[in-house]
Amino acid sequence: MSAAQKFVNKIDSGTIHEASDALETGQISSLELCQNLIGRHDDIDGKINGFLSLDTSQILEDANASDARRKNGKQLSRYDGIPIAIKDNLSVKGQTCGCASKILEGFISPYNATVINNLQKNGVICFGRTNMDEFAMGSTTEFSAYKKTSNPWDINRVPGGSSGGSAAVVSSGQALAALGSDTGGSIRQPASFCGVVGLKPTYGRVSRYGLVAFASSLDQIGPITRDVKDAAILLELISGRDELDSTSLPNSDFNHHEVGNDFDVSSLRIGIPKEFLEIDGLSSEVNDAFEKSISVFRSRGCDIVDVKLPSIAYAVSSYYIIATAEASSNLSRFDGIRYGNRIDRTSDLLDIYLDTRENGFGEEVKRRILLGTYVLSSGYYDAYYLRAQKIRTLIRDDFNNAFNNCDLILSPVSPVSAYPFGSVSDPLQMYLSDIYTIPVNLVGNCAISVPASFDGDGMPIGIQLIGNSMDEIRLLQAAHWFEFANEMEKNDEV
Amino acid sequence: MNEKSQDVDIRHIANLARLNLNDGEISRYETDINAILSYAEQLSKVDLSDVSPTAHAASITNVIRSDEERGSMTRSELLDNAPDVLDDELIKVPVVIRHGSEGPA
Repeated sequence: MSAAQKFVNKIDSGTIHEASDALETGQISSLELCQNLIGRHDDIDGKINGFLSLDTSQILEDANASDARRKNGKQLSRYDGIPIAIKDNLSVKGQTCGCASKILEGFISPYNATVINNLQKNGVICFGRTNMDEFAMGSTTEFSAYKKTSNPWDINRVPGGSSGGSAAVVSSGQALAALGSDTGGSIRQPASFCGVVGLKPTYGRVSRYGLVAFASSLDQIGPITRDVKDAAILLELISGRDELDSTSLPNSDFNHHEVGNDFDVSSLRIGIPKEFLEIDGLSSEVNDAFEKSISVFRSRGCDIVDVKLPSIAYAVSSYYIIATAEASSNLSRFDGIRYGNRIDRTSDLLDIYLDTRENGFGEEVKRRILLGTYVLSSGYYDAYYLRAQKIRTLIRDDFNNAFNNCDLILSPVSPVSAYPFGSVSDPLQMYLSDIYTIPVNLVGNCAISVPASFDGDGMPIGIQLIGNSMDEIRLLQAAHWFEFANEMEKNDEV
Repeated sequence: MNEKSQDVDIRHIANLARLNLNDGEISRYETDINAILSYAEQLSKVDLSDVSPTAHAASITNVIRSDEERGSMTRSELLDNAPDVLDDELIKVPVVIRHGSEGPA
């Protein structure tokens, strides 16, 4: 069997770095790579429903162009010709960008998001638009206006959300990797549910320009990949200071080579917040997976220390006030006037607003707009929004104190593993399940979800490592090490 | 917090948010939002008198760039997404200010 054939045969589990090696050595062409992924898509996405659209002729054209560049020794980078799936809230010039919402039906992006420019500069091919909860509001992808995405490990269960489509297409072998966005866990939780890696970078590490805003002070774009090394590579490709995003940090370039193999895990101090273990609804299986992960680190000489995050008890309240307030403001731009769908029955301006928004937004988006409008409305601002921002300060102080005593914090990603469709209908219950992920967005530091274990039904369970602000190198080193050590541990058990 | 002071007037809020809601939605959202707000009442028990607010996580304020000319998208590129266009150069909207008896000229 040729090397090319070998890679093709494992394409549904292949990685960016393996594909890049195969492209560089001429074992495979970008065209073959894309054709195989499209074939995989045609075979299974009818069951998974991870993609909202896949423009195969554009992809094959891009792949041919990449192969021609490489043939002439003019490849833009070693990742030229690598296809990456894109969440439906990121602008790609000339493609639809609908945020899985009816209100943006038919909208074609007139420009590229900065992350897309960064990918295309390196020859990376945009490979389809992935399903999501409408405007990234949800934890199951059930709030997409178009379709429900299935968890590839059990198609009767949710893939998590809001980047459920991105996680599902990576997990089901239809894409080597994908971009998602994370406002309160929307990369990490679906990664955990689908058994893949999900990284939320430090706020300001990756430009938000061209990401349709949900909650601007919390949103961050990041990779969903098959292994930690790919997450580091993709972070390198998309990160960096961008003057089009005024919260973009200086010195935010990232070099994945710094995540080397010569990492001494025994020098690491891992913090365990006991508050995280006292969360209502933490399933025994997730707890077991978490305890096992602690022991993997401990057995290799890591210092495991207790840290305190007392204000975490207020994180969900604070988050859902801040996130909905910002969302109600951001989503006021969807009024049917300049772009998107317009519903005009009476030729009255106010009716256009009311009818367009009534028909264009789904249930959860309306709920959050209402809550956000309320907490910002006259007489309630101090009681809710200002208070929530002060709580945000307390949570940030908690994390700063914790990182004085440890290098990284280890926690579950979600209190539960992937559950059947329709099983969480109470919005507050759904919000409460974000407890492990939202503090990271409030504080703005980086965190990663790495596959750790499985529940009794065979559904994947991830663990979360949380790093200090701009400490992605250490975060990814530890995650890379864990990925390897955990695999060894599993092999030992067999 | 007592029940009365947090009874949210959903119709009023929906009007502020420019959302039409039917009766079913009004009653469902009233229940949901009251439940969320009563959970969030936990915030009122925290002493925050000496705490300053955090607006966003990046340690950056007032980013200033040099005042220089830049390209932008063309009118036709931007109008491509407009739902209703007049003469290929304007976005068409209904009458905003009415004359005569319907309002000020």
